[in-house]
Amino acid sequence: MKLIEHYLDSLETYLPDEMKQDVRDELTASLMGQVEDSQEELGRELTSDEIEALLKKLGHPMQVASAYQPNQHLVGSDYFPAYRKALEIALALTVVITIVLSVFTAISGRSVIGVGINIFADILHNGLYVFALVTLIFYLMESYNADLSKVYAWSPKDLRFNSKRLGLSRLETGFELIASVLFLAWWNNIIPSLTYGLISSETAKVSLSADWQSVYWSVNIIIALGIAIGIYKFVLATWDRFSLVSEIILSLATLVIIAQILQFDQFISLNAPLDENMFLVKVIAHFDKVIYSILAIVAAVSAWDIFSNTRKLRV
Amino acid sequence: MEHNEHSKKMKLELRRGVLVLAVLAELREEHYGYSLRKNLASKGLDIDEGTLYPLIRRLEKQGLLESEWREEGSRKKRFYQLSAVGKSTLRQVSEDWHEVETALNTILK
Repeated sequence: MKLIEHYLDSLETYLPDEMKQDVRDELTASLMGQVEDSQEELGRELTSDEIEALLKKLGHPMQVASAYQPNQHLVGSDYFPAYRKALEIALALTVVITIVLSVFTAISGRSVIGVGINIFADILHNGLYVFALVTLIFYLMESYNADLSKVYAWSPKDLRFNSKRLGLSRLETGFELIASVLFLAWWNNIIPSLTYGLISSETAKVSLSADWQSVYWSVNIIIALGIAIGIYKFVLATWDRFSLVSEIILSLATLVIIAQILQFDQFISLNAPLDENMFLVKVIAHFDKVIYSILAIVAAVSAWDIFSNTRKLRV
Repeated sequence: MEHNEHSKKMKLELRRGVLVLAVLAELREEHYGYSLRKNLASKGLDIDEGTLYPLIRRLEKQGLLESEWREEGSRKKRFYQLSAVGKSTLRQVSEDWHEVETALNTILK
């Protein structure tokens, strides 16, 4: 019977104090009942091997103890869909915030590889904390039977933005976000290697003209709002009425600013002695063409965005 | 997965589904863990202790069973029996079971 004692001793170690004696008494009654029945049937005492087989049939003490305890999971099936969505949103938010903060700190002149490794390590580090926190919150919610009816409240009308036609790729949105952040940094002269001075030498300097100052704040506002909406889209990974309407308004504002830029007297200003003029005039003409091309591309993209987002709103 | 593996798994799931009903029905009479298990096994439903005992505790926690510790043959035993809530639940679930059984028999024909 020592085997049974050892089994029960081991099982007790996996149980909370308040259950130990109860479970031990219950299993003792059951095991001894089985031993007595078998001995009566066989007309002899059970061998050590037979008792061992009986205990093996019952299962590993850890598994048996575990079956006695409620909540054998961190997040159950009722809460799991909401948990997965919450985790997805929280991790997406963590990725965006970590990257955006890292881009600004990266401007301090570190190598691209160093910044990349740093961003990856930060995402992993912050992501693990967020994962643990969200899991803990849902574990507590389930332990206290938190009401999820509001989370699962839905209407078939709301599902139209989840249709395949309105798919939104996080990768694409992520690239758009990084491009916007880099542009904003360049526009505000934060990136030291990309200053307004396009060409400069000891005697000559070619830079953006003073006219650009008139659109400085409006460009800043549009790009910043674009980044905010981009983060919103990246986190939700789906379109909704708010993001579509906001993007249409921003595209319209972009077209207005492009129209304003086209009114500039000059895009590039030249500050150079006469003997360098002929060469630089050609350079400026070249830059003018580049700027016109960029403006045309941005205008085309904005017009297409207005068209496609308006169509999406009608889905 | 082999065919018999599938059927083994499905048999387990099926038994798990009807286990509560069988336990409630058997506990119309008072039993302690081992005697309940023996009774169920003699009627063709062999369940291991690791499944049965935690289940009856859960049913007690839900108010479907009542229990009492008593000493019998110099050993402490916990005797379980249906509570009033358990009796009405058993009546309702038995009716549901008969409906399911009828429907399934029709489908299986």
